[in-house]
Amino acid sequence: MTQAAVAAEAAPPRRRRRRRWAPKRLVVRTLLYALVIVLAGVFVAPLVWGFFNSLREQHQGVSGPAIPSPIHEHNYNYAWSGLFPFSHYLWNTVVLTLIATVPAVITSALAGYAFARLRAWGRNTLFIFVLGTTFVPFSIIFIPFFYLVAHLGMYSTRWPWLIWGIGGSAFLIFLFRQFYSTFPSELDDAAAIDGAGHLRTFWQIYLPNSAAALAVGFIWLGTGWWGEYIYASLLLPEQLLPLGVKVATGYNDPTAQITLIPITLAGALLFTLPPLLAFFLLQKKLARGIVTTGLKG
Amino acid sequence: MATTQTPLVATAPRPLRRASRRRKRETLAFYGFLSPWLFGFIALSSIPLVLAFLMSLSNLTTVNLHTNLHYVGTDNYVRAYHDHEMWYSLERTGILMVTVIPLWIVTQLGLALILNASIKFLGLWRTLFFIAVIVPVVAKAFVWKAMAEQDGGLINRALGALGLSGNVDWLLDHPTAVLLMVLVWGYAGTGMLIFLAGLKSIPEELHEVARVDGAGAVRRFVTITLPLLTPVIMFQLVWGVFLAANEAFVFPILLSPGLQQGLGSTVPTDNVFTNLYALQRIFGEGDFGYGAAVAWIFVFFLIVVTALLFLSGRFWVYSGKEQYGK
Repeated sequence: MTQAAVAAEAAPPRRRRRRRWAPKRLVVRTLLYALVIVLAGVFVAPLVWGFFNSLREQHQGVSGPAIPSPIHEHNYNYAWSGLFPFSHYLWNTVVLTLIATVPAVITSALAGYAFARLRAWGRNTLFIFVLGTTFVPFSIIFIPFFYLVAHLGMYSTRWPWLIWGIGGSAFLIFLFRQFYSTFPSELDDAAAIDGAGHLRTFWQIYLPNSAAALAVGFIWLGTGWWGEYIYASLLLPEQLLPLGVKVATGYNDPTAQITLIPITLAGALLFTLPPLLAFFLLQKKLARGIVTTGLKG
Repeated sequence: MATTQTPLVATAPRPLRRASRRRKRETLAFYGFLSPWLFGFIALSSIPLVLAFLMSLSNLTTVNLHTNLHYVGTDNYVRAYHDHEMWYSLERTGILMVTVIPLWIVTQLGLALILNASIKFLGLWRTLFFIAVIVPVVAKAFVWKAMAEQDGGLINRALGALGLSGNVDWLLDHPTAVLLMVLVWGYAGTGMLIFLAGLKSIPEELHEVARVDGAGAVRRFVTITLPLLTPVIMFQLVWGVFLAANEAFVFPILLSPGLQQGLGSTVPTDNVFTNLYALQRIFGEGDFGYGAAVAWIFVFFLIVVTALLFLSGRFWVYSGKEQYGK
């Protein structure tokens, strides 16, 4: 009511002003669009430049005409199978990403639900600890972690990834807590009247209505683990290495002792495709489902 | 359990008993739901933190507990105090943070303001600005290596086209400049979305009223938008400290000039930040104890920086109260 009144009052002067300043507005708008186009160009340029250079002759580096004249699209075949079996390491990446991401999303959803919906002693203190873990830098954790992994016999295995997965992610716990706080509390009451316990309420009501939060969670964690580099290169043996590590070291010419930059770029771009595809597929879900139909009905 | 105490419990009023049992069940469910995270918290954060501290007080030199392992007190910290390379790495970390964080904030806020200006094809622009965030670290680094390459890199080509000297060896002579570009390009998208959400939460009526009072766009930005965004700016500053700390680790390795050798690459001294320095001490020289001490010094540095940020917030972060009095 009041908002509508304010809007109605504000509308006439705005219309008059707009007509009076029309030429100025046109200039401002033109400059704005010019700026947006230039900035978008700057943000996309590195990827486009990477793509152009992935089509050069493999020993050429990035020199020569800006757009390579004989296009070596064969570089992509070479990146796929020329120096190492790309698909083997791609599969390793898929496995590591899945075992680190899927459990983490479930753990975080459970914890987020607990923080949002269940009252218990120590809840607020524990939530501060959740937030605190995001601020513990990687370098301090890594040294003793490496030590523990070595002593537990988990060095050169994939176990650490599963443990990271089970441990969940502080950012996702925060996200799910915020998300579940917006659910109406009548939902819990209705479930309780129907005799559902907390686990069943979570599993059958909350989780199926979490499409948006799940999409954010999978994208956020999944892209992170997909590109993870340091842990993998320090903990895993050659045959279990993920693609990221292999792309970073595997495209050197063994005899000339130089890095084949165009091939490296081709490999790096192939490696980028899956997360980009996942992002574009889930983007619609992100936009669509904030709180889905089950709650509105 | 309950059956043995039946007479005693029965004297309590019925609803109370049910309420307390429900609360007990809720507590149990809470900790049950939290148990995977608690396990991770203990195994992946708490134990390693304590262990790192213990290691920093020892002369541990390999992964194995060797025979002449002993407690060395603060020796490792004293050694770090006299280590010029350690101080240089800390200085470089400070320089990186002082440059990259303001660049992040300006870029993120700038992009968010543009997207908030009721622009057409909003989704397209948002995606184009955000896309770099999705690109994996290794690809981010290599694409920028191609940009920064001395012979034929796009940066040198652009400088040449502008009539400037286009023959700079960025990767070797200005490694931190390249790192700055990668970090700003690769991580501005997330903050942009956060700032955009912050801008959307500012009620349109405030701008409307100010406009009626004759305030121009710049004036409205300084007196309305900026003060209301200060909590977001604070969040981005703290986030930036930790993002910079964690990313100034992988990227220097991947951006090292010459042959790609992964962790074996030679990183230019200017790009050896404190956490990388700690890692090099450990895996390059097997100096676990000293590396852990350097890592703890780095943590202390981060704590001091964050604490200073939060303390300064009292003077510039809008809290929603005092402003109404004016």
